[in-house]
Amino acid sequence: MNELDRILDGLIQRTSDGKLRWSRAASDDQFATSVDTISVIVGKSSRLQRGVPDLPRLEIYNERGDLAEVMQFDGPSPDRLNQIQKLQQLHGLARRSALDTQSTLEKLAKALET
Amino acid sequence: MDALLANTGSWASISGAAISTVGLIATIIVAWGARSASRAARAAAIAANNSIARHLQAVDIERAIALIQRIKLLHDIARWEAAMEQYQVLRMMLSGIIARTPQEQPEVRDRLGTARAIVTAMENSVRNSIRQGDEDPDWPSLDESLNDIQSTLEELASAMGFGKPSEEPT
Repeated sequence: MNELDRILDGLIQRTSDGKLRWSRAASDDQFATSVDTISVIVGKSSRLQRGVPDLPRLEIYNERGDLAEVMQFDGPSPDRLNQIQKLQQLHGLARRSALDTQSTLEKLAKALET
Repeated sequence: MDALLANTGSWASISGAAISTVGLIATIIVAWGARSASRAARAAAIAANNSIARHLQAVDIERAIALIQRIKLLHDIARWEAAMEQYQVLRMMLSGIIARTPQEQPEVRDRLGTARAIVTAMENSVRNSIRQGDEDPDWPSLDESLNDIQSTLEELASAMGFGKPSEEPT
């Protein structure tokens, strides 16, 4: 497992545990968070880079705010399918975190019970 | 009297020891005083530094909020090139605010880091829109992001208790 895979797993785990809070970033399908002032933006390539199919993309910014690393895909290549799936999972979790989906659903369920 | 004279050496020793003891006590008192004075001076220096840092932080936050208002105005009048220049300035301001935020406040530092990343995302989004020849970037979304950043800054200012007298260091 390479470093980016470990980072992806860590982001997914911490977001699932509710320990990492994401915010909406500039558009409806981009989300940002920070860990030790190292920032991460997850979005769709169609938004972040036009002309590429709707695949997830990850940007990592260092403590000074400079772009340090990008994880993106030119297409759904089979050898990187695992990374694409993980990144899609992270994008979904980040969206739920930013939009506070769980809390909204609980409130709605509670309101419908009464 | 003879006995007294015979014991003169002993008396001298005793009085010498007493004088030495008094001298030692005086030295300890003076040293203790100096130590207290040094501590007080150090505490005053820390308080002054904290006060200056808080003031600079307050100024930076105020300027960043004012800049956000200006950027929103640029969005309103579709001055996208000018807005992109201001995004860079805002990002640098946020970096300054992060640098001045104590390491002991990792959550605040991370929220500011996220705000800075959002500004980068906004800049990229506007640049892409201009490059692609879009009519206008998605300015309501951009303004919404700016409002979120402004709220973060206002919360930070409020949590730091700007306007209140600075606390004495412990």
